[in-house]
Amino acid sequence: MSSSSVQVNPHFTKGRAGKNFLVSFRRQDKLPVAAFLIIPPLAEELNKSRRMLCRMANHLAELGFEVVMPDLFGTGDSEGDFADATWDLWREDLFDICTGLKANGYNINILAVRAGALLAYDLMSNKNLNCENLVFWQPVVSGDMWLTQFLRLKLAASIVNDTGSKETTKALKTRLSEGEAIEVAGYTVSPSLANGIKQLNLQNIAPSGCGKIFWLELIASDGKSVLPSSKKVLEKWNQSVEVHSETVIGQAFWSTTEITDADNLLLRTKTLLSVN
Amino acid sequence: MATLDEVKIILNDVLQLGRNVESFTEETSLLGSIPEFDSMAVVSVITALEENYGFEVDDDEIDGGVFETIGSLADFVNHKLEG
Repeated sequence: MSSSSVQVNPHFTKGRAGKNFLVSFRRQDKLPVAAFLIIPPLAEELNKSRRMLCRMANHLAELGFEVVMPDLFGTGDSEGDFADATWDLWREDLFDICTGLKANGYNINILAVRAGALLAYDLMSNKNLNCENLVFWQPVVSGDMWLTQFLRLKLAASIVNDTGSKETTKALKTRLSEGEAIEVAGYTVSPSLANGIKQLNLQNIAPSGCGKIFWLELIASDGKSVLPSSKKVLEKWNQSVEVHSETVIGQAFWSTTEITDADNLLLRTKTLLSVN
Repeated sequence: MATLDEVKIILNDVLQLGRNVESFTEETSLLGSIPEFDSMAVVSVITALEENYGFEVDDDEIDGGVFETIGSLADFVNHKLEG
């Protein structure tokens, strides 16, 4: 999948709770100009997105970036179980990666996908991370809504399997807030992870410290604008920061039943960053 | 008013049923008949409907009956739009 000039280097780095798996991509023929951190989506969305993330990483490396794609603690090939992951741990691990890249003289750029956008937002807001370009792919605007949709998998499973027991997200959220871990679709969500993600909403305040923000969403057919919930955030953010938003035709690769590509999104992202 | 065609398009976007979807009618069964229609798909379809039509679905409204056929799903959408 990688082009011949891009060197792919999978390795482990020391995270705060254990070893994290990380793949870096860079051109062999010249030194990187800056770093690009890819913050992945969560749970099943990560599995569906792997191929797109890897392809984008190659494109970004071709543009001259040192691309860093970590698996968050308890996900992918990193150590730990999903049940052990907390939101704060993920944020701090990512912050440490950025600190390391900066120490090597690289400015930071970020591509954040789906719920990864909430992590990027948290890094900007609470860790005062500066970044040149912040690219969002179909960002999750509300952590609480993401949690609802994720917990709904349990309800859906009871419908599909016709078990008769109906577990509503409301009831599951109550159990989480009472300190109980909940297993959904093979992922055990800890109360602290749920609580961390629930707090975040892009609507709160525009991130400062970014050079440019690109907000890209996929649409099934021409003529549609970004989602209504995104529009609200963009209106607010545009009062204080410059955000370029646009829609690109392509399939919702993070949720499709089969692994799909959204080539237009890859190419458009590359173009926006090249002009930049 | 949501048309059957709109619902079919949304289903196809989520499940990638390909050409098959064109031959679907109101009576075409979903749950238990289409192998792609797993729990992940159910959630994706609900999310896609919420995003597409701008309504919010409450858990209490979701049961097997909604996803029985294309027609029952379209009825559900129209019920939400009228409400």
